[in-house]
Amino acid sequence: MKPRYIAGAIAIAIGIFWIVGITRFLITDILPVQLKFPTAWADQIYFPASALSTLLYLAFLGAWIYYSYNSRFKSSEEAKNTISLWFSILAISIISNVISLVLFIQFTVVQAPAMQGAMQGGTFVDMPPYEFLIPMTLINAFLLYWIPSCFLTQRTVRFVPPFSYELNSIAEKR
Amino acid sequence: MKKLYIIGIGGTGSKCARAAIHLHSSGAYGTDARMGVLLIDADASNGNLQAARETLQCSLEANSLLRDTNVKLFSGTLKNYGYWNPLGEYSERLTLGDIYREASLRSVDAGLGELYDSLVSPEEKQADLSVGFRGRPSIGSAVVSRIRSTNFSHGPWPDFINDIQADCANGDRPRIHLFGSIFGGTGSSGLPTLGTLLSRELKGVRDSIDITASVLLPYFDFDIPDDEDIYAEAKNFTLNTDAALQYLARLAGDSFNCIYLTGDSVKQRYDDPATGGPRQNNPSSAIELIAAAAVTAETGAGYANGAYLTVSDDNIFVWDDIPGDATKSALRAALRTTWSWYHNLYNEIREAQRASTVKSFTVGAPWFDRFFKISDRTNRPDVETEDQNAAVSAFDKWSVDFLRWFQELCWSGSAREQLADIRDDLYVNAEGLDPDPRRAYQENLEGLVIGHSFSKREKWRDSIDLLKNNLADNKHRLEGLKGLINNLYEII
Repeated sequence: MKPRYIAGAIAIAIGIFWIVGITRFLITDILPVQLKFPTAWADQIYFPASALSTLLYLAFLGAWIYYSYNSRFKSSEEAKNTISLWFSILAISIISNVISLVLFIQFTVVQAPAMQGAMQGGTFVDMPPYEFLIPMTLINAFLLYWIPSCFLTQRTVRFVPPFSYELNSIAEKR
Repeated sequence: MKKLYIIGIGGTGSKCARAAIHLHSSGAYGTDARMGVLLIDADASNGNLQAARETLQCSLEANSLLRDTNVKLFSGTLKNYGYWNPLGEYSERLTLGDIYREASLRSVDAGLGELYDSLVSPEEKQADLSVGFRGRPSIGSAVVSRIRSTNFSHGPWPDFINDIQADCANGDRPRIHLFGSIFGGTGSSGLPTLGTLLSRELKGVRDSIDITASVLLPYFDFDIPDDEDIYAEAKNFTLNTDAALQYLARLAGDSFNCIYLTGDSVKQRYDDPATGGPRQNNPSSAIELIAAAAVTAETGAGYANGAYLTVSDDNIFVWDDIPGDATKSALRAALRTTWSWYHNLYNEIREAQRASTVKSFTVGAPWFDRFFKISDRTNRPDVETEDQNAAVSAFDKWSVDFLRWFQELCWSGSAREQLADIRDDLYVNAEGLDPDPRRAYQENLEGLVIGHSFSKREKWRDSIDLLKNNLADNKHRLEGLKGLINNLYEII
């Protein structure tokens, strides 16, 4: 297998670990969020939203790779122009990440753990930490779409994603 | 190594030589062939001679800049022995009377003068021979045979003969292949005469040499030209052919190891005929391609009195009619390479040269940095250097010449498309260093070669874009334009 494909797979693995592992840890233990029960919120809202977002990022990444594999270009100029499509998919993937978070936040009622519920009255509506979630979606997109697309984009447009030439030059000596 | 010496005699001989040069450059004669080219015509301004000389010149330039011994394209070396005019140093306006010094001939021997009168008509005596022998073999024979008096000591002959003798001394078996028509003037007189004279001149090493010839039987037809009072007439072609074949069979046949006769039952019609001069620039024909393919054909052991090669369909020339698998595949690869170059890569290279940075160009052209430098981390050639520009120009000139030649083959003798779908294209030389807007970008190779059937997926895959991707996937031994062209030819 080509080194750049291995690098792409590693990038996806890191992205998934980030979105469903590290960010959850940041929300529950590190970031100063205004949540009464960060763990419950993370488990019941953030985790399913981020899982869905991960699937969406991978779907968008797959769509871009499919497009790059099945497209032919007459000229360098024509190939370079696909950067607008790449950015569009990036933007759509970030928006879909935000929408999935908003939907889960709006339509999910956090059930407090039994002990805490008994002490504080059961069901809570928290202030979602948008100030952290929105920047996180950018990082999500970076790790689950941008970086993998740098390594996994096929054929003529393989260097269209920004910095893909530099990253590929590290993975494979050109 | 194959040592080939080709001699194109007359307008048709020049056309065959042009085909042979293109086949040699395409790699049809193998990677280990060295070919020397000598062109002979009494008409220095003949359009077909000029076209052959231009082809030779641009092939030499491209060969010197792009040759790699491991890749068939341009792999063989090429040597230009130049051009020999049988009329020699005579003045611009020249008649047979001038050559034979008619007046002094009569004064020395009245009988000789009368013999001269009985063999040469008054019109033939007065015809200006500086535009060729006007379809009259009798005039041509009289002039060409005068080389005997010089013992091949003038013009390009000493160099030509010395090289052949040197090859024999080195243990090689050189092959001299003559091209000429047998129905016109220069070829039908020059080919048997020169074959015989060369055989005699090289008699010391004759057993170590093959002397072969492609003799073209009448394959075109035209109306009476309007340029002179004495002219080549198509109605004489059969008579000329009959006489020349008899001469070849009875008197000159032993001088040749093998003679390949090629012709066509359906004659092409030339609409704007000329007896000589720049206007005699008739389009190339598939018959000449077949004649050129004979340069490396077997010299006939086991053929007995002859063998026949026929085409599959009277009305159209197809790839399977081209003799030899190597010829076919090399020609097809060269066609696809030059077409891809003309319609795509040339403008891509020019775009790269004028891009703000070559790295920005590479974003849409991942093949580019496999051949050219985009940073100081590699020693690959810079696309903007003079060397690379010279290579671009040389290959472009050769490509245009090749495509024009091949386009004429696609038109020849057929009312419908044959060989390749390029009949309606216009191939023009590029000017300057900018992309040429007249060359529309093309990407799809699938329909180029006629008669090559593909599955649906193969059709999609037969594209210049995917070839460029193939080039982008690996490092290459050769870099710069030389690497790009040779690697493209190999994978195409």
